[in-house]
Amino acid sequence: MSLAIQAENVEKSVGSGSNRIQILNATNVEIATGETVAILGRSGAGKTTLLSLLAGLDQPSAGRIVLDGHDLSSLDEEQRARVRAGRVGFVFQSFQLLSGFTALENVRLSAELAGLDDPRARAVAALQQVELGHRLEHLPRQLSGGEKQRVALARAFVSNPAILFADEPTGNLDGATGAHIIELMFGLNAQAGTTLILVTHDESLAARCQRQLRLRDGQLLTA
Amino acid sequence: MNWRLRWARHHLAALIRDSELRVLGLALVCAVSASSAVQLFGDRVARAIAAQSGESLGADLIISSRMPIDESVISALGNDLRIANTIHLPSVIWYGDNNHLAGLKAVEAGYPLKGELRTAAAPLHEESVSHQIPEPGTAWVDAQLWSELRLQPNATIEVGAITLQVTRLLTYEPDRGSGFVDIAPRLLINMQDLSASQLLQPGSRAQYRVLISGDENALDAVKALEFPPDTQLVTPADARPEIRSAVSRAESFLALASMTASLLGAIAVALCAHQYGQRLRADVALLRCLGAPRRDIMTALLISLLAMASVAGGIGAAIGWGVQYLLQDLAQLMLMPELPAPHPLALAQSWSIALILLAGFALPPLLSATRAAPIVVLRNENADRRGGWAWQIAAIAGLIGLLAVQAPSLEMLAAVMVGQALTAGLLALLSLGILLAIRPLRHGALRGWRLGLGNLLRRTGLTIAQCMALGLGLLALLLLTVVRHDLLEGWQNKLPADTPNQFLINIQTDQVQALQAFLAERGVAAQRIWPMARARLVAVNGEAVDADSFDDPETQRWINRDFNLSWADDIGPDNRMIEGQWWGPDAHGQALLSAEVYVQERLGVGIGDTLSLDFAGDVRSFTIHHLREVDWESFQPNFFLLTPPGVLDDVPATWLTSFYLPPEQRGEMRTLSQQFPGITVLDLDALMDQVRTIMQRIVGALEMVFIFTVAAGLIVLLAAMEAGRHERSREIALMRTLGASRREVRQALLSEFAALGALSGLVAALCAQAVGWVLAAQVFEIPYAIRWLTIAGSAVAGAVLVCALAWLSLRPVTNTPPDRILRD
Repeated sequence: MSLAIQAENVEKSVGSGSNRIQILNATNVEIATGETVAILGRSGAGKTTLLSLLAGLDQPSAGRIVLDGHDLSSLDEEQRARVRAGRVGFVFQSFQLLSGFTALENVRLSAELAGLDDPRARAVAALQQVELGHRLEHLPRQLSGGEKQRVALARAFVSNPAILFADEPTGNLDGATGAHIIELMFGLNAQAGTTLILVTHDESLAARCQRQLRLRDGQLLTA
Repeated sequence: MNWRLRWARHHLAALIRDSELRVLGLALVCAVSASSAVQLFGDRVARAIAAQSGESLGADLIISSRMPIDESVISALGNDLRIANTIHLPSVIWYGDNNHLAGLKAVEAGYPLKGELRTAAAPLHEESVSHQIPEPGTAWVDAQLWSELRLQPNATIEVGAITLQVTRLLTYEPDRGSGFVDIAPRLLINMQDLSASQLLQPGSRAQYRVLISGDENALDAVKALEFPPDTQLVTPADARPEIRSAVSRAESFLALASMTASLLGAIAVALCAHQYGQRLRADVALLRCLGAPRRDIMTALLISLLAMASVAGGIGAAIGWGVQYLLQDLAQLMLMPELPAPHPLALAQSWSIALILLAGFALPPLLSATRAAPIVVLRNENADRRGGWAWQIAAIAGLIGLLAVQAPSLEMLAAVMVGQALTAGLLALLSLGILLAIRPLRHGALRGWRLGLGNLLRRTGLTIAQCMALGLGLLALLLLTVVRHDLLEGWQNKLPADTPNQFLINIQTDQVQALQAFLAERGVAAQRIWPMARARLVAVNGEAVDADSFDDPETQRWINRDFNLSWADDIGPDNRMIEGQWWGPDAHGQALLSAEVYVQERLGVGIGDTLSLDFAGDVRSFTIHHLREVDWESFQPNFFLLTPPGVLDDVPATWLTSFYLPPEQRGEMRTLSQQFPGITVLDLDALMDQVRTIMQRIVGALEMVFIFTVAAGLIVLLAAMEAGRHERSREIALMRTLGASRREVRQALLSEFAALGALSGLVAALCAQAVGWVLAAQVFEIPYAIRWLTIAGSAVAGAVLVCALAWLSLRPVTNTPPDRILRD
């Protein structure tokens, strides 16, 4: 079994001295390639912190993380960005689209950063996959919440990432729209065989994943 | 197009779409417009001066004298030179019942030796080069005299004792100077008509010139000649220093206006860029999250800034290009009707203003945004760290660069920085004082007004900064308009109603009795008639002096002129003794001098010192008997130097007098000119009208550039509104959610911005009145009443302006449902 992610004794704290706050205690996680994993926990449990560390968006205070074969602790921010560009996709609760870019440009951006050939054609295809072929030239403000998240999904999958990180992907959507997004996400994930790491409050959503990691007060309860 | 260019294009499009970048763009456009108008105008004038230096004399060299130039001087000139004579003198010209004082220039064939005359059939007709001079019996007049006399083509005008037909409109003469006879409207006649006009009398204020042209060797030989003391050789290097000086003064005023606009533009750019940078952080974090290298992000951002500088700079330069054409009026006032076409390269300099503004004030916050960490996508942390010194160094470098590009000199650069700081400090203090004074008022106000005033008082720092920015622009306009008008009016009203408005000069001794009889017949109460002799200072205490003996330019200029002396055994009340006593009858025939304090200041002499004066070759020495001070504003004839009677009886002299002539008797001056053609009439009322007109045109041109200053002040205000817009949107949404009606919200906003505008107008008006009061007391020595109406008007104008801006800026916020704002 090859590992997509391996975290060893990863800790995160902020501040120093008496003001030091421990956000994540020593955590060990191994996620296999193609596995789907949900990170669960209450607000403040450390879910988003763990996700940001595993994705290389932040640096741990201690420990080591290997992402798709790259030891993140030995890389600087520029090198981590290069790893993300080619191997990692993201879906966020608040969509995070560039407001001045059209749907097509937002998706194409990801393909360009991954250094893929013919990024436009790939972006069009990705948007058609999420049923937005008719919305290519629309700006984010001209799209509904569900449509924005579908653009985000297309952006995440356009570069065929090895690992997809999703942070509360349905948190800003109503139930029906959220369900549709989840179907799309799992469908695309199944097609691409991508490793999926999902942060959620939603137990039913978490249940669709092969494994659940539960966090409480910065402590991983189930690995 | 790759993503970097698309991102840059998005920022460029945001110049129109995004409110913060729109204001940033406006600030750039405003600063570049003001700067390019001034730079282009200055460049055109500088090139005109350079281009004209060769032909500004109408010759290669000029021999000039107040006396007819001696034949020996002419005969000493080589045969291989081309020569033309001209005579310049002031004279009153009549057309029907209209008259006007003109600078008459009599010329002979061959004039000008360099450059060309250009004429037209009448005003607004096509201009053409004239290879001839006016035929005998005809005259050419310039547009000003044409307009003043309301001439028609082929009109017959009276010039002294003759009549001449006006055949052409003179549009350009290469050797026009800026002495009185040159500033006055021009009349060009043939030399053959001059003697018949009888204008040329002994002692006339005529200037005789011999224009010379030839090859270099021949000209060098002329330069090597010795000339009599009252004769000067003028070279192109001496040409038109007065124009250079006038240009320099005008440029200083214009540069001040454009620098102020740029400074305010810098504030607006910094405010907007900071706010935009905050929002940019989210985009940068996302790009970083998706794996974009920081270098690429910075490249895209720099492309954006360059594109912004190009677009906003280009629009600003285009506006400046148009405005500088309107400034041409100023050039005409400086007797430079012909300016070369604007040089596109001069635009580059003003374009650099946009680059400096962006590099110094927008780049630091935007570069700071590129340091946003990718984690910001997930958490709104990593708040902006401004990078301390880097920001401040960039801003200071930007500030100095901004001003250095526009300041005509280092002194001006320093003066502007200190002056602006002091003015800003004064405005800030006044604003703070007024804010503290109105603090108790908010408790008694209606709810809407209470909220509005509360907002102003809560953000005291921001309120003061906004008042300073707008107040600076309004202050400049108030000083140029209201205060200037008040001071001039006050100064004119200070003069008694019967202040002499007519001066008669060049009265010959044999005309004195006839003239007195002429005036008495018409019931004109002539003032005293003064004798006047002209002399040149040649020695002080026996030591020979000339212009080179003194360092300061004012003394050098003064000493180069002929001194006008008179003699008297008593003196008017407009003379005050400073040191010593006025002489009694015993002084009759003694070589004594009564000196005005100006003589003491310039020459550093005192009682007992001797001055040697040359009266057309007759050098005499005089001892200073006492010092007196003249009230020059009495409009009575007065002299720097007086001698006792009986000392100068044997030197050539003319007479002068002044009197008040009611407007209904102005026609009598025509009869006087006909009966006494050699007498020059100076109509002060007409001169004052001319001065007033010139001042209005100068101020008009300055106002055009200072309007950019006010616009820049308003843009700062707009930038400040934009900076607080998101916070204000949330406040409004919360107020609406908690039950405040739309009317109450609008009332709160209206009261806040009306108070802010009124405060800006008020502090600007108070400052302007303070400056007016100081000028009135120290310079004009007139009483200056505070104009409460101006203060109230300025406050109202400020309130209206700011409310209008606020309405434009915040209307979308008040019209948006509160839930949408809160959800966003």
